[in-house]
Amino acid sequence: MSTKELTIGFVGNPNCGKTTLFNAYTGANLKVANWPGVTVEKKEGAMRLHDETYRLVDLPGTYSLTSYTMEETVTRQYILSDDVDVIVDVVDASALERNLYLTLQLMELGKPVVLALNMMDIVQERGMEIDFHRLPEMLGIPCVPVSARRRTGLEILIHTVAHHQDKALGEKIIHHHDPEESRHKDAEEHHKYYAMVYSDEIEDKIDEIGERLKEAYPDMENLRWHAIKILENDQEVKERHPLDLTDLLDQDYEKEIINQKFGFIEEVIGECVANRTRKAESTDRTDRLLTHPVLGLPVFLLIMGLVFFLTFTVGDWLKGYFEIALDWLTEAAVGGLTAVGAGEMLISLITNGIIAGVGGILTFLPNIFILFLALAFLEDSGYMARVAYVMDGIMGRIGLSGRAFLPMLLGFGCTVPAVMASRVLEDRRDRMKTILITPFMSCSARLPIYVMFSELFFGERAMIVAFSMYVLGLFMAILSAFVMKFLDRGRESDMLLIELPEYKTPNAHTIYVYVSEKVKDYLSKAGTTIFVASIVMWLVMNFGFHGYTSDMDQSFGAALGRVLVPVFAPIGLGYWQIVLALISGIAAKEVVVSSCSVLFGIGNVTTEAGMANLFGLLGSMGFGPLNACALMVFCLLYVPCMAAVATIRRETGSWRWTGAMAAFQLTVAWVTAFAVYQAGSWFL
Amino acid sequence: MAAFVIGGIIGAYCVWVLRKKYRDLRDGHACCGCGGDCRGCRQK
Repeated sequence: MSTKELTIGFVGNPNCGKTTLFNAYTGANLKVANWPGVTVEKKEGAMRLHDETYRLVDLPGTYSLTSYTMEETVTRQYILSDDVDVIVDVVDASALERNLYLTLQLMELGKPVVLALNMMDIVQERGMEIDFHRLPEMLGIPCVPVSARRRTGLEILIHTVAHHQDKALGEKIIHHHDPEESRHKDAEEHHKYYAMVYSDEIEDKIDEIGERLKEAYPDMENLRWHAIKILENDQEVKERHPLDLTDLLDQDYEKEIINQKFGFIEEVIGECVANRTRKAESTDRTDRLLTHPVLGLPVFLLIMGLVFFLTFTVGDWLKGYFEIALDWLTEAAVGGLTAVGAGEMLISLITNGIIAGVGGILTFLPNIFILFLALAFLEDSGYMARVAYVMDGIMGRIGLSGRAFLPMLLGFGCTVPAVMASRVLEDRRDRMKTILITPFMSCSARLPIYVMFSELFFGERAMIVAFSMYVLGLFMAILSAFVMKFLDRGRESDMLLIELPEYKTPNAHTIYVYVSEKVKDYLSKAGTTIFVASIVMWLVMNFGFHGYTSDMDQSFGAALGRVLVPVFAPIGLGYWQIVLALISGIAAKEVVVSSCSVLFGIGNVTTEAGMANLFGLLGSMGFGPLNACALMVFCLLYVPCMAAVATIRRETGSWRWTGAMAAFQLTVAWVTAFAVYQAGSWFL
Repeated sequence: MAAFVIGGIIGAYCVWVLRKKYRDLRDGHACCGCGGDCRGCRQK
C-alpha cells in the first residue's frame, strides 16, 4: 500500500465538465450547471482506488494561463505550486479546437499532464471521430476518453494519472516537424521533447532568455515556461523575476505566440478529428429564436412566467397535503404535551413558536422544490447561458460587463453563491457594483413571502403579482446599475465572451444533485436558523417588562416595533407586528412568514384556516392589498439575510462597504415601497 | 419537570445552532449556501 498521496488538479475551460468529473470521483455534490463560471474557488475532495488515496482539486475554469482574471490567477498559482503532482486537463472533446489552447499552455508548465477528453457522448452523438492513437503521439501526453455524465472511462483516467505522475516531459514526441527545415541550433532536441515548437525567431529568443534566467536565477525550475511568459509580456512573471532584456525584446511577442499555438492546434485537429464540421443543427435553429436580439428577452420572461405557473399550480396542490400534516402535528403535539402535564407556557412555545414557525416554512417546500426543479432543467439544458448572452446588450448599456449577469442569474436561487460568483469579473469596480445589485434578484427564500401575501390578497392574480416581484427585482438591479453608470462616467465596460454550450437533454443525476441539495439546504435552514428565530420571536412576543405575558401588546416586541412604526408608516407598513416581522427577516427571509404566525398568534398561518384568520386580523387593522404589495416590494429589496451579508463582507473585504451596501439596499427598498404605496393610494 | 426537560433540550439545541452558525459564517462555509453541511465543505 502506498503512503504517498497523489494530488490531482482538474483544470480546463469553463463548462467542460470538470466539476461533474470531480463529483463523479469524490461523490461530492458541488454545484454543476451548463454555463460557465460555476466554480470560482478551488474545491478539494478525496477518493480511493486500488488501495491508493488520491487528493482531487477542482479548479475554476479558465481559457488561458495569463493572469488577467481572478479565476485564472487562482488556477495558475495553484498549478505552479508544489502542491499539485499531476494535472488532469479536462477538455470538451466536442470542441477540441478551442480547448487545446489551454492544453498547450499546461504542457509548457513542465508538470505531468493527462488529457481527459470529456463529453465523448456528445462527440458520438454528433458523428465526430477522434483518432486516439494519433492525438497522444502529436501532443506527447496521454489522452483518455471519458464521459463524466455517463461515468465511463473514470478508472482508466486515474490509472493513467498514477502511471504518468513522474513523466513531467512525457515520452519523446513521435510526431514532429522535420528539423532539417529549421536552422535553429537545438531544433532536433526541441522537436523531440516539446510538442509545441515555435518559429526559429521565437525559439532563439526563448533560448536566450532561458540562459539569462539561468544566470540570474540558478534555482529556477522550468526556464522555458518563464521565458515564454516573459516574451508574452506577462506582468506577474516579469515582476517576480526582473531581467534587463531591452536588447532582446524588440516587440511584444504575445500575439505571435498565440497565433503559432493556434497554427499547431489546427494541424492537430486536421490529423486527429474527422467529421468535425457536423454541427448540431437543432442548437442553431433553437438559438435563432432564444437569442434573438428582440425576441430573446420576452422569451426569457415567458419561460420564467411558465416556471412560476408551475411553482404556483403544482406547488400549491402539493402544499395542501403538507398543511393537512401540519394541522395533524399541531393537534398531536398539544395532546401529547397536555398528557405529560406541560404548562401553558411550554405548550405555547412548542405550538405557537416552533411548530407554527418551522412547520409553516416547511409547507412551502413543494413550491421551492418545483422552482428549483425548473431552474435545474433550464441550467442543465444550456438555456441559462443564452440568457446571459441575451442580457449582454442591456448590461453593456448600463455600464456593466455582460459577465455580471451570470452571478445575477444565480441570485434567483440564493444570494450567497451569487455574491461569490461575482469573482468572475475582472474589474474590482464591476465586482462591487455586481455585489451591490445582486441581492435585488429575488432569491428562493423570498418565495414563501410572495406566495402567502399574494394568495391572501390577490386570489386568482396571485401568480402574476408574485412574478411581477421577480421582474421588479431584475428591473431595480438594472436601474441601480444604470444610475451608477452616471456616477462612474468614462469607463468602458468589457464585452462578454461567453460560450453558448450545446443544448442537451438535462442529466437526471445533475438535476437530482441540484434539487436535493437545495431541498436539504431548505430543510436544514428550517431546522436551524428558522427554528431559533421562531423561538427568539416567541420570547420577544411573550415576555414583557413584567415577565411572561399572554397579551402581546405588553411584550418587548410590541415596544420595539412601536418605536419604528413612524419610519414604516409612509410606506404602508406602520404596524408594529409587520415591522417586527421585517426585522426578523434579516435572520433569513422566510422568517418573515414564520414570524407572522407567532406575531398574530395564529397556530398554522399557512393553512387555509390560518390564512383566513390572518386575512381577517390584517383587514381589521386596515392592512389591504396595497399594503401587501408594499410589503412584498420591501421584502424583495431590503437588506439580504445574515448569511448573504457575511458573504458580502468576505467578498468586499470591508465592513464599510458592507454597511454602505446594506444602507443602499434599505434606502432603495424604502423609496420603492413608498412610491408603490403612495402611487397606489392615489389611484385606488 | 416535563417543562424543565423539554425547555432544557430546546435551549441546548438553540445554543448549538447559534454556535454552529457563528462558526460557519466565520469560517466561510456560507460560500456555497450549505452552512458547512455539503460534502464538498466537509472534505475541505
